[in-house]
Amino acid sequence: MADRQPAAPDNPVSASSQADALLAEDISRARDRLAVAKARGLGSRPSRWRAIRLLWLLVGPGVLVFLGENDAPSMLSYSATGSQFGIGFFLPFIVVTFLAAWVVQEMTSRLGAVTHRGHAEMIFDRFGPFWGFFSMGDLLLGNFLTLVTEFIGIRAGLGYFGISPIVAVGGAIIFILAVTTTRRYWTWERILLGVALFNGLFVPVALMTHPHWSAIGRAFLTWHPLPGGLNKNNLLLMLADIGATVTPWMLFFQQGATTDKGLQPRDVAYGRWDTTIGMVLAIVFGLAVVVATTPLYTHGISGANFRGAQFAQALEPFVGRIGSSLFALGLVEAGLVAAISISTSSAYAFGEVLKQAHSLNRGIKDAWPFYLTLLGSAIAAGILVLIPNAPLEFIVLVVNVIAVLAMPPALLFLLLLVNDREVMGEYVNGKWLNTAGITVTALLVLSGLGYGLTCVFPNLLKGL
Amino acid sequence: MNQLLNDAHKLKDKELAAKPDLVRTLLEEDQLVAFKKRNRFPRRKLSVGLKVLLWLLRIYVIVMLVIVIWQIVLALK
Repeated sequence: MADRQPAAPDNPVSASSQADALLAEDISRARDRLAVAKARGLGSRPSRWRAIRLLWLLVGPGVLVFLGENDAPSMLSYSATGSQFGIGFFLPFIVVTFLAAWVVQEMTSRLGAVTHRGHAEMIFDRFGPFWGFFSMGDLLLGNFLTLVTEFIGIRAGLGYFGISPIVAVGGAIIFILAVTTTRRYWTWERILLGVALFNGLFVPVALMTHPHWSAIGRAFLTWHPLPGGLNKNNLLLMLADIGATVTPWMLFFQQGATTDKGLQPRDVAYGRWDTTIGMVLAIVFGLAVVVATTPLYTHGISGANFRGAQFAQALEPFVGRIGSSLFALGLVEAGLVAAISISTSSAYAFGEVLKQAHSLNRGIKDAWPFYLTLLGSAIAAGILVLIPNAPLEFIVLVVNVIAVLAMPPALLFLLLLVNDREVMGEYVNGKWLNTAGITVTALLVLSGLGYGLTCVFPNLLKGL
Repeated sequence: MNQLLNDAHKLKDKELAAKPDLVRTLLEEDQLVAFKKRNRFPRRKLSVGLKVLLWLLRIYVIVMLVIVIWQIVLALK
């Protein structure tokens, strides 16, 4: 906050802060803020035009985090859901998981706009390195495993078109390198937003299957059917779907991007719109995947053990070559956007903890540890995917579940931070958001515990 | 004001850098990199109850992770 004096006792605010040297990062951010200030100053224009212009300028981190979370393993998880259960329980269930994600991401966006600091930095500063390193451990493990699955998705998607794995992975790494080294947050964000919109490729595929709209409507009203009832496998799939929507990297990414973009407390409402738009797009695109793969269920083709492009191949009789090609391209997009978002979240967190430059407004020479983390993690994950006999199947199975399990401690830190008046001032959480945040945390813990209990006691849910 | 912003909008990065007062007007003080480097948020005091909750969640993560990995290894075998 502008009037906050957050200095530690041994590190008082200098009276000479006005004399601080301005860095290129400050200039780039000021240029972005100049556009926002100009849009706010459009006094002679109708207020609706002003609001649209401001939304265009301030939208970004929220849309990117949600479309980034509609990543390759998430789309494969939704595909498995559609092929095993068709239209039924999981449609409204997925919407609820996205609503839970909105609650979490709104808090993250607000925290970034008010503090101008990344998530890792806030945890280390307020809770100390002991708890901070635990959070970092969860984040980096989850991020690396997820990155591997993004490259599996990219490889599989491009493999559908006959592109060799080494060309697919190499091409993806070159693309990531090109997008992330523009030296301008704004350019990076706009390119990524443009690419992320191709997440919508799943919508025409879903329409090509001629979905039964009445069945979709009935599923939302009744939450039925759930073939097989509540058993361990279904519980694992539910966990995977939650993990496809609510994950720790999203917190670190959105807060880091909000800070890098230069959002201020007065932009909080626009940050909320940004998050809402991202959520709505992600819901539509995610549900489209379930609907698109429902013909596999209705024709008795179980996709439970399908990997990557096998879904696209299996869909060909129902949606034709064009439809299955769009599905495969959608997987590539999902993997690419997520690979960039996830490696950026690792780089933000690393830079914040190591107190090194951590901004996309900096050049490689100026912020090499940031770019080394970003590109190094992407390259390492890409190479792992190319190693013969690497435990990729294990990683695919475990990645979303790890995300769900790591989320409750991350949510506790988030809730503590957004309720901290010393940090948030007048922007602390209200009653409703606290209730929603605590409910989401409790549900995540309970679903994880439920899964653990059914593993230890396999007959626990037999009677249900 | 609009004219001032319009003129400023046409400035190149180097010209904008030459107007530090304008940059400081556009950014909040704690958005400046140098300010953030010098000023950190102080550590908050953790109550016993909060420490217990943090430990419980940490134990939960570790136990559940072991269970999940065990189950997946069994499934893959």
